Amino acid sequence: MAPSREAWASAFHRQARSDLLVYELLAASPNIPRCHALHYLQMACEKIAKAFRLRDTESDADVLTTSHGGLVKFMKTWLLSPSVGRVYAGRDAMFGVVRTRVLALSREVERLAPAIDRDTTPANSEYPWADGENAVVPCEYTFPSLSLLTDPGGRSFLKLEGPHRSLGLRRWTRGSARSRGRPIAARPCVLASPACFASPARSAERSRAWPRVVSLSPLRASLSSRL
Amino acid sequence: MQDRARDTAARELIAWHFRVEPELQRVFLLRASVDTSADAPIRLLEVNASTPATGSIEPFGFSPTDDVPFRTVIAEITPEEYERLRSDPSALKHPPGWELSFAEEITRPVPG
Repeated sequence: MAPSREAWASAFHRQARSDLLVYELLAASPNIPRCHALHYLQMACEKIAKAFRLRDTESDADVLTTSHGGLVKFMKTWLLSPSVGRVYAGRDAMFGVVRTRVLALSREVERLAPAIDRDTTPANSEYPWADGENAVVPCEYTFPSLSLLTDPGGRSFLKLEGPHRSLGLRRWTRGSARSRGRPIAARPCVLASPACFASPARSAERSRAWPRVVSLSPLRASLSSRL
Repeated sequence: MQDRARDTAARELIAWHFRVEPELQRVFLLRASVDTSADAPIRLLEVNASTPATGSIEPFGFSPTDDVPFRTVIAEITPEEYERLRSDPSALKHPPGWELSFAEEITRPVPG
């Protein structure tokens, strides 16, 4: 018997978390070229998107597990999900700022995959590409379009949390004199369990046991002073 | 009763989508044709000019919340993909049940 869709979703979700742990390790290693960390980030994001696609019981699981891309589509719909709506209730302007930043980052991360948009944006985290007469090597490239990842908004894009513990990514702090580097007060993460196809009551129960994926709350906090 | 609550929640969610998504043109609230259970999800097919065109309908499923105590499945297509789908339901790859035949169309509210 083949694995259930829920089992597939869980598997993709867990592997995404593991990929992100590797991203964090590589990103924190000054002697390792940036492309390697970004490669893991791209793979993690792709798997997260697939985990949420697999929660739709009607899509073809075989197609989902073998296709590439989908991060931007996922982030666009996730930003419209009830969980995000609850976090940003009555804060439409703030939501607009967050949405713009998150989607810009999503597009850049998705383009890191060599199979995506190779003709117009050949830069990717894995294979050399041509730039005029030069062959550009990923491990010697700085990926300037992803500099946003080191901004406060970018760090929150990366933030993953489990129900009771960090998944290895650094807890985001404002890093300013104003906050003295203290962690932002924890707020509920806005993505819940991939086991969403249970009844609401069961889903809430499962959500406590499942790691949650991405929190935008620190991003909101970081952007609030700009509005 | 459950159907009415789901419908109300769906309409509130759609109203929020129109407020925060400037490129959203219309939303189709799909009626249950595949999943007819009491806790069938809210399924929204949204026509959005800012979504990437993929030639297919790609739904993502999300958990219930206190405000929307139903599973929600959302897919976005571009206006061009919508036109193709309207003229030929088989023009876009889509999961079973993601058809316009049993959908209610909700257009962007007129400002003012």
